[in-house]
Amino acid sequence: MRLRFIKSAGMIVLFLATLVFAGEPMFLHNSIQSVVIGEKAHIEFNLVSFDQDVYEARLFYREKGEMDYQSVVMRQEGYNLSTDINTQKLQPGRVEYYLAMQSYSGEVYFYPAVDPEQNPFNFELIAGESGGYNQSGAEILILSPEPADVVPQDELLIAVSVPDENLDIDAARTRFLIDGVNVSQLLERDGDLYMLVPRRMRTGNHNVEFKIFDSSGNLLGKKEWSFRVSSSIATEAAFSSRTNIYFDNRFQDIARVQDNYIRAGLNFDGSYKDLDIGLRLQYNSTPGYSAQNATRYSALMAYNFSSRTRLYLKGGDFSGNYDPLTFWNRRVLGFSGGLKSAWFDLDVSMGTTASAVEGQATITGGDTTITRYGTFKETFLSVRPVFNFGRYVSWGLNLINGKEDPGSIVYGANPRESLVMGTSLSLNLDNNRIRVKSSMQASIANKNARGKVDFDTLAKQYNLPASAKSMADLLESSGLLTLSQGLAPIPSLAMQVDAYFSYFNHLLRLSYKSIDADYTTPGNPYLLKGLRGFYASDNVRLINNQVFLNLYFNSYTDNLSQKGAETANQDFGATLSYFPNSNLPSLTLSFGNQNRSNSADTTNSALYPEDNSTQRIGVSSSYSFDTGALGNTATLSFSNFARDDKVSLNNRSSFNVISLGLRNSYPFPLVTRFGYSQTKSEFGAGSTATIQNITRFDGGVEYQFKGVARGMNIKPFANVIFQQISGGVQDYNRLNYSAGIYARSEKMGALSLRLDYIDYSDLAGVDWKDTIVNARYDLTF
Amino acid sequence: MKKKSLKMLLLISLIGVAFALQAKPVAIVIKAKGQVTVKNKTTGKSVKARRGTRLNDGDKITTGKKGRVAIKFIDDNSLLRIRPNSNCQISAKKEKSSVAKNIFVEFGSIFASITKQRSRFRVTTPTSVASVKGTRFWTVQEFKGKTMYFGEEGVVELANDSGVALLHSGETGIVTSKNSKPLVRKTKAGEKPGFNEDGDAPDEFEMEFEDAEGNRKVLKFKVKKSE
Repeated sequence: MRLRFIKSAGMIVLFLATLVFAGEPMFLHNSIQSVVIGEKAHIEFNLVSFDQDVYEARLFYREKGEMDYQSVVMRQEGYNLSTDINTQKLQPGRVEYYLAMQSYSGEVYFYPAVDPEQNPFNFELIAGESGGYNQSGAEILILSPEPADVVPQDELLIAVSVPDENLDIDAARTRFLIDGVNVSQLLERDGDLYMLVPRRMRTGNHNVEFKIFDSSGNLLGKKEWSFRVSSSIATEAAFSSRTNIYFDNRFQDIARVQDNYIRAGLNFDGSYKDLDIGLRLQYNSTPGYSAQNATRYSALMAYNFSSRTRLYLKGGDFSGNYDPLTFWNRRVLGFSGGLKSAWFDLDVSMGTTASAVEGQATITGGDTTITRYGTFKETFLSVRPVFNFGRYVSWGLNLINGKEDPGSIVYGANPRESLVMGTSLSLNLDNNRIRVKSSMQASIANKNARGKVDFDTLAKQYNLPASAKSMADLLESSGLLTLSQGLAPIPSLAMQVDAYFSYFNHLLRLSYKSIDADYTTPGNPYLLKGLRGFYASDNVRLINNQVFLNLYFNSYTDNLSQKGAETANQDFGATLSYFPNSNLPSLTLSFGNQNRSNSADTTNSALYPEDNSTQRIGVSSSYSFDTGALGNTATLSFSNFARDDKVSLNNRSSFNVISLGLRNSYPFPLVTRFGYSQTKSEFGAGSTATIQNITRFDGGVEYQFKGVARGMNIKPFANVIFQQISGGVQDYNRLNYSAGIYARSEKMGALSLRLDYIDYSDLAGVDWKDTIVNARYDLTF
Repeated sequence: MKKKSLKMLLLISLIGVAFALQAKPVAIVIKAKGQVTVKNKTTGKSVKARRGTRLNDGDKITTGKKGRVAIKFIDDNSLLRIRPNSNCQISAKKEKSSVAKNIFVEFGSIFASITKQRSRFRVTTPTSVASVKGTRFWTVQEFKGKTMYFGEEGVVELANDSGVALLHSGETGIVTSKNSKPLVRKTKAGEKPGFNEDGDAPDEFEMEFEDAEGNRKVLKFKVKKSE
């Protein structure tokens, strides 16, 4: 329990997971202290030990009080997983996050490993001086043509600018579409300016869409507009393409174990008239225990009949995005085809989610003992038709099926099967001011598809009516499920309804979510189950968008898998933020309260009794000021966390964290950062209480050589973090030096080099000194 | 491995220092007709302005007898239209998160449509300075002569060493020399420049129709402009 508090507070600097299960990953993670809105929140996890290949790692994050977590794919460099959260669209206050990771064999791991949704890491997001970014993303100016303008053929110039030079725009990801056709490769960039001088365009209306992303793939801003060309000259057919190649190398010497990882890939996008083609290849040098195919490849071909009608076929590695209850971020190796149109959409995907990997066994005197379970080959099928009624209503049906093949290996555990069927409905009313999204699903799972049984056996076991026989026959004859002893024919249910109302400076969200503990979808490995409840939040803008108020109230029950220990939660809180939009400090005040209780039998060691309440209070501020030509941003953050527990005094805990930061921008492109934080943690109460203190100093310097040669920027940087941990299991210091250089040229590509040197003073009796060297080259043409 | 990385890091740093910083464009030509030249302040070279020509701080724009050009500022989308027989210079200095702009009109006529400014926007002539914040107005500078301002929207502050005056929509400001106080009066009919002869807006456009047999017909519209 104490461990759970440590994780939830997110203030632990170093945590080496000590899970007893062989094969479970162990992580090293530095929690971040506080971030000013607009800056990137860089989050990094290091896999200290894991005997499988990571197929995909995602960081899930949300503002405190929100029901759903958003997710972003993490970069993988060897055993280093990192990402940057784009904070520009978040509100000030606490941001909660956890890691989810999928191996090539389809297993999913979370960190924190237990109840990550309930015990996430978190950091403080501090209001900056201006709240503008929160509303509309990065500023993009349309220079030419004006929206709805009528332009003569000989005066065509399409130009936009992104005046905020502090944005980390990844030029390779910039998307520029004319009438739905990607012409990004024709776009010319010069500083803040993006432009295109088309030779000819078809007479009539044209639609332009411009999107910019940061290096983590987060959307920074988007602009879409239309104009009309006034003379009639036919469009010229043209082939256009964009190719991106990259090469990653990471050398590490961690805990005196040396490894070298290489990753390389190619991304190609092209179009010829109305035909789009795409190709993705990725080589990974780390085949591991799971022996799943670590090299990814995929191809896409799509034909655009019009701007709203598109026929597509995908092959190779892909993942779906129906909705989180059905098919969402699951790797499938196979084919996907479909149609998108104004009235009807259809997607059919099929393939495998895992390849067969034989286990190991010892055979002694005719007795076979499995020493390691293998992985079954798992086949996957999804079908989703959607009916669109104008722009206002979309109604869809879906079927998702996953089956492990018992004959694919000899030494395995129980092969599993699952089937999900359901419906979804989306409403969009009053010009997007009212939006409703709902999904209702039912799943049937078979936990052991070996050994067929007849319907009567199942009917007797589950008290099924005779009328269910026709359904069972249908499922079996379709090949979707096997009638075996492991089949649980009573469906498990999942539903989610979200309603958004945007009126009078309020954005009100009301949601209801119910996911049975036994609900199983083969299409979303990250789905957290066993919860049911109601969630409400309201974001209010006041005083010319200078004051933001966020209120939330969540009432839900989780731990539904344990009868007798279902836990009720009441979680409410508020965040008040002041963005002065002038030369005054910003201020954020936050308060949160969460109660958890259940009626678990305290004599039953399998159940975990809970009756606790947790209060959080946070105050943070940032202030930007000039001293001569020096630009400064100072930040101050204080937060208090206190948990009272009625079940056991040992479960009580409290945290106090204070952090200070200073960022200096010089008249030349030099940026320096200094930070200090002090964390005091207390676990338990009375004589058994333990107190841990963490003192942290950090500093960094970054210089940017802009416009070196034509369109080249070079950014060298160096950082140092010193941490002193005392009062816990063991006192130790951690000193982390990092330095590197990042060079990006529009013509020659981007090269980054980074060196990390970490010195642990006498940790666990060993004088550890770790070294990590990363190099990456990226070229787009 | 470590030594190699450090050497590479040092080398790239040195290369970076060795290169000079390159100017970023501050504006872009969105339309150019007739003879329009842009003279670069640093190189002294003149080039013919075209759609998409980028303008840097200090660039000088000259329009010929039938030349006219429209430019837009990259940081705030402000529009500047320069009419025939004009000569002006663009200055743009970085100030915190925006760019302070000054258009020096040596002679000729310009129209400025200024978006709400986060920093200064000025039109300077040999006789006076016009400071604006979110407005549309004309500036006409006679060669070695007086300056006339015509307000279309918002407020413009006209100033020189002799005094200050505010120019509103429908008013004309006159500054005969830098030693004479700016005067403001109602605009007389016909004295304000317009876009009619400039071709700044399309004067015709077409719609194409196709029947079931694939026959095409084009319907042309001529737009009657009014100022």
